[in-house]
Amino acid sequence: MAWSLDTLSPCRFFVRVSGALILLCGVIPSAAQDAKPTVRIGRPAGVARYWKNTWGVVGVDATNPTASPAEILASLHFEGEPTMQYARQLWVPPQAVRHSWLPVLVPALPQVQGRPTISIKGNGYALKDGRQTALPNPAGRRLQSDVLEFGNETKVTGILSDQGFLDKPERHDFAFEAIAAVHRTGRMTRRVQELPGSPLPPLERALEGLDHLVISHNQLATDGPGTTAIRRWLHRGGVLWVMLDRVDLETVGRLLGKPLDWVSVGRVDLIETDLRTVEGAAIEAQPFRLDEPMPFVQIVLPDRGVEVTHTLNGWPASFWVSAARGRVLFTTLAPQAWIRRSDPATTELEDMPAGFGFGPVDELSVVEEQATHQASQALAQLATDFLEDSSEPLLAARELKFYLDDEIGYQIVTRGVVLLVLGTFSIGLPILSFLLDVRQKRDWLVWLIPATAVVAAGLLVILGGQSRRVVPPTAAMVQLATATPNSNELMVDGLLAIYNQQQVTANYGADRGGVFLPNVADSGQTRRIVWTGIDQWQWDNVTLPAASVRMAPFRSVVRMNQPLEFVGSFNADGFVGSFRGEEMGPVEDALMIVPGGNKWRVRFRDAGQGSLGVDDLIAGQAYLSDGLMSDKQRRRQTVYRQLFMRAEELGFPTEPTLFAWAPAFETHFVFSPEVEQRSSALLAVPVGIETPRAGAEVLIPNAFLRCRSVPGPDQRAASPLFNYRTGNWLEAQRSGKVWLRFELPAELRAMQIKQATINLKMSAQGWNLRMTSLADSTSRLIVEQAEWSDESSFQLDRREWLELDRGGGIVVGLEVAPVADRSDADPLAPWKIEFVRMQLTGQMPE
Amino acid sequence: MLRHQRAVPAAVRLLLPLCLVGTVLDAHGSWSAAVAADMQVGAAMDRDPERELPARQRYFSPQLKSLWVKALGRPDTELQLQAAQTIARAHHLGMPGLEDAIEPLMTRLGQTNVHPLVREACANALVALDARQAAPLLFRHWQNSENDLAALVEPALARWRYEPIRKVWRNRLQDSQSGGSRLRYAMAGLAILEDDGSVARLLEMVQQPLGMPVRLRAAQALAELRRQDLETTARRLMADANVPTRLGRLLAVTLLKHHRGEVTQELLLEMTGPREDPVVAALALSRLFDLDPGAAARIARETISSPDARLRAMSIPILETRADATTVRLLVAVLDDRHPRIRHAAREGLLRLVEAEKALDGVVRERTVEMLGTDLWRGQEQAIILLVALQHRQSAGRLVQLLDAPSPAVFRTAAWGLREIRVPGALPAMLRKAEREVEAGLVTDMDLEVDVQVSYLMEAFGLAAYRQAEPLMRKCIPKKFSMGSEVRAAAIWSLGHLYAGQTPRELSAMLLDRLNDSGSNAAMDLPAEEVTDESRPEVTGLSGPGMESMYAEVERVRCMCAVSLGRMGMKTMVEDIRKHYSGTTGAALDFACGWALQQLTGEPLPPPEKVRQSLSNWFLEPLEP
Repeated sequence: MAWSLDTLSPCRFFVRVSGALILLCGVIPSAAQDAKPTVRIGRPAGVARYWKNTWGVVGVDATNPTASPAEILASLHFEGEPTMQYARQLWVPPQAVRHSWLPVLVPALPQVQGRPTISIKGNGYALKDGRQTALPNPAGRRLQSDVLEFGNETKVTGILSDQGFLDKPERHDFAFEAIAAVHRTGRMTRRVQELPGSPLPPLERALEGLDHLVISHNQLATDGPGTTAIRRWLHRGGVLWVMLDRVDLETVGRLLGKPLDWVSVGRVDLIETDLRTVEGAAIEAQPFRLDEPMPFVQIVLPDRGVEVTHTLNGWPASFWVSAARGRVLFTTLAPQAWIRRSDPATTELEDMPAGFGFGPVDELSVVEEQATHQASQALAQLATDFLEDSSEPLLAARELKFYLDDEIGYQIVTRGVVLLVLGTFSIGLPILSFLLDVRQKRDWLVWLIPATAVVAAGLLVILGGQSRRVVPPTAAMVQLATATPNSNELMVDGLLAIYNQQQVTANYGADRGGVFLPNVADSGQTRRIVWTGIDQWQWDNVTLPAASVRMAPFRSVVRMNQPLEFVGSFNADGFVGSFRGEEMGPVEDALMIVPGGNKWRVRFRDAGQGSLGVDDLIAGQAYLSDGLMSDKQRRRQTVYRQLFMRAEELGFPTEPTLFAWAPAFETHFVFSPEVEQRSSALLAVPVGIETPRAGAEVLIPNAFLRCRSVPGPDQRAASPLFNYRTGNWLEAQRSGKVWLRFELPAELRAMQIKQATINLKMSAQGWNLRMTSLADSTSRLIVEQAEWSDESSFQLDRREWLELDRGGGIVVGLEVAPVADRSDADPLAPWKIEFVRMQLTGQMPE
Repeated sequence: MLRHQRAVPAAVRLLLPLCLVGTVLDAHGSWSAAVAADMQVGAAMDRDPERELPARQRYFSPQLKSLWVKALGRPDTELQLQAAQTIARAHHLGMPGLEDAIEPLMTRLGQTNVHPLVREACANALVALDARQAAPLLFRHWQNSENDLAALVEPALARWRYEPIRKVWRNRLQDSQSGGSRLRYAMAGLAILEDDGSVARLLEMVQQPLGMPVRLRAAQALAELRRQDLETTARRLMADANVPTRLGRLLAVTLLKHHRGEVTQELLLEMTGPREDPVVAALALSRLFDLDPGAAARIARETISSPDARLRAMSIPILETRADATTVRLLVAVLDDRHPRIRHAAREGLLRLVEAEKALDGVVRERTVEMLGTDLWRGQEQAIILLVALQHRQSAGRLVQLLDAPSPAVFRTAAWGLREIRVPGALPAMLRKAEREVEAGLVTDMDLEVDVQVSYLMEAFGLAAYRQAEPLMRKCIPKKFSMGSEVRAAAIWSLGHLYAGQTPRELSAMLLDRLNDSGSNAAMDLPAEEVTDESRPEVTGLSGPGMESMYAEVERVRCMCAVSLGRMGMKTMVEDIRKHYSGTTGAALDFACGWALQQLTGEPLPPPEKVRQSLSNWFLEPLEP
């Protein structure tokens, strides 16, 4: 049978098409199979600069050109520290690129000190069927080398600003210049670390290298996780400067972790500014003229929780807000108004030096030395507080080691066992003596006593050894948990002690954040921390030696469903409060510390109510009891002692804070199932105050009256003799006058004050003290007395002495001058006030 | 300064004849067209020929959505978080079709033990996508974790009028221990839900000694819910001695936001006094303007000179309702306001006044000329623009004087004004000024502002077909970096106008030479509006002999060469021009060459192509965009 061309033709076509399709199908997968995933490790991310002993974040980019999803491990270590590796495990869909982050702890290596970079090495692996296959980077190299920008500065300020259009001179960033001017006041480098754009890594660790952060752009409005990271950094002691002419209040609310009750009522452009103190005194001799109109936002602020420092036309121009351990400076006036040109002759933007608005290109840049602007007097005043460091922890983790040493120690030989053995020995010995005496064999005691002692000691040794062998693997933890008002996050720091009787591979990690690094450097093993999600990680290849305790400091954030608050009010005996929001178990050994350093014992009842009265003021360092204490209490007291010593140095707290020992909070750290966990927490909660019921008789202990030194009617500035942060007084050798303002909590301003009691202690031999009240610019004498050496108490019950000023404060003046008719020719000894305390009694209006 | 003094006598000599010429011309001019015209101070060569800029279009890879949805379903919390976050961001940037992600977002949010950050990001994305169907789910999450989600969820539930939350907010409002921050959304939400049952409590809160922000928000909510009968409360608050005066009055004016009637007007008038806080006064004046424009206008005569920029700005439209000589006087004074937006608004207000009330034309001109005669640079600048809009040719003499004004804003605008009003009598003086500056520019670097000013003068010569300026224009053709590129481009553009359709060989050869000068350093692909003097090489140190030969011609100049060749009808140079034409009009030079070819051959000019702006750096993106 002959086939015609016509009949063949469709067949040929079919064969050709089928062949082509088969080829195509063969070629495409093989092409996809030939291409391998690649990983690039070490892209600067987070704040894009790294400092020793500080966490930072590097970028990881994984490309998967294959036709199936890939599981990739990107691992990194610092050159000089190959035994500590950081890795990110990533899933990458087919034909896609994924960008991620990897947190790393920058080591303190001697070879990088003073150098501008630190070297890193990276490896990528494909994970398949439990095996790791090395992957190249996009340039085809398996072992990747790179460098990260390394900082040697001691103080670092970051800035989050609109840097998108800096090529246009008119868009130079005055916010940058303002913070550079602040640096100048502190004799710091002009360097300000500019953060890359949004979104920020959702990791608090990414910001750890910063001491201060300036937010001059509203990009956080659409970056919730980045905002959370900044908030956590702030709550741990960061200092923020938020420019409200550029950032809206909604964003600020998210930043502080609570909806704000501030109201923006207007925005106006100003060409002239006349900044004043809260008292109304002008800061500069004459109003400052701006080159062009600049925005000023008018905000109505609540009475509490905000400390206004400058005003403009009666509206707040700058104010401070505390947020847990951190502080936030808000300015409502554009940054241009806070700075002055360094060289008035330079008037045109085009004439500004190369670094204007940008900062230096590198650490050694010539621009470093070129300052275009300096801080105005008002900004210089703010700079002092802004540059003050508050990120130091209240308790360093190592300071808690003794607490855990004992905790683990008790696990080895319990107190009961020891008591039983020693008790048997002690009771048995007289019985034995009596029996031998009855049998007239008293001389046996010569050898029997040492023998029983040896038996008892031997028994203890044997029991100890046995006990040690039967102690289960233990993870003991002591936490310092800090709550923030209106925030449902607790900052939990502390120390973890891990004990294993046998050598074990540590299957440790976390599934809700927090990191701990067990100290196993002495074993020389290479270990790797592998991140698998935002807050999820696990240790890889960590072996803990047998019968040794490994300490691991940790940091974590515990999220609760509701904010944890301690809120209370006043009655005739003092203050009564209870925990609100998140449910709390029983708490023990509680006390309250107030600004200035006074401490008060808080007595908790079964119902969970804590109260304090006038008699609960703690004198000396017997914080928990003046009498006998348990071992646990003794350890807690030592913790308190260390904590309060540090608190005084740091000016903590800025508001009344309750400390109490409580069951530990769930950190979601993961241990092997056989590990027994023992932990406890020292909880720090700011105290909230509610208005007492109508008609109630109230007593306000000194703890709740905020005391500040203020300028008097004849003074330009407040006396520096009293430091309200520490509560300390300076010694003086000359006459002096101090005006103290005792401010009532806002909730009590409607109270009808019946009596105020002032307790004053000062040493002032040869000095005379005049105590006066101040109301409506009129001062009235309360008492005048010479030769002070002891504590004295004064009752103020006259109506004119007890008048509150507009802000709800009572002002008392203390004027110290030499006694007029001194016969002694010797020079006067200096005078010093130890303390001035006020407590009030009164009644709430019906 | 010396230059300024030298220029004055010449200008004075010109002043009288110019004014006379101007008066004659003015009789034939029609200002009404000019009033409507867009008064942008800019180069004429940018509008002739008019170039339509290519539209920029954001491009999102079609694979992005499926990748992100897939990521949302993965166990890695970082992937979940970034996916939810990116969906919201991309939606905000205009990515279409992300509504398909609502279901997966709800699924993720509905799962137990979802990471708090992921929960927040999913809620944020659902709110951004306006996913009303997610309201019950969001409400449930919000109840479990109010603090995290309040700022996101509560305003959204209010906007969606989600009824179940009404009861929660009401309870919160009644709870005396509710803090200001918790009350904030409750009060705003109940106002949106038009919850009349909350009026009594809100009224109580406005008057109680609570924190001022709480009272203010209560007043805001109350003002929305109750639009009458709050005058007595407002009066009481205004006189309340227990609160700072301004805050009491702020509460009062907030309450009256939607009120009307005599008592309201009386109270509002009281709150617009000269000693009133500007925040309060601005709110009161705004409401008063709604109710009684006449009364507001009387107040605005005072507030137009307030130190508060906001009050001055809002006084301008209010004053416009009183079209009289006093208003003109007040508005002309504001032409010199230190705030640029206010002086622009005053100028526009005056133009609108003239448009609405022709009888005021004379007064406006008279007053504006007075402002032009002062030495207030801001006022002068605005006066020039206004007089140009009115085609007030009599001001030509003063404009010639102002060519030597000390302020760049004034001398630049004066040159522009002279170009716009086209008074032939002014041309010789303009030429002398241009000659001086060009001569200087041949020797030393020309100032950027002077460059712009002289370019306007050059354009004026071209538009007026002023042959006497031709030698000067020709001086600008050779490449000279010390001279401003604007001047050179404008001179070449004007030569095109002088020789339109005349095919001058020698001149066109010179222009073609400039067009062909395309070294590797030429700035390319810049649309005309974006081409600034930065496109020329850095002048400093390059103006020495022979330096020009090392660099390509400035693109702006090359563009104008092409335009002029087209305008002069140089058909013999079609192929030379075509060499620089890519067939599209995206780039400035392409457009100029395309336009020239259209003039010479009749080839249609292709419409500008859309520029695809591909957004990258997503956390997860396809390999092929």
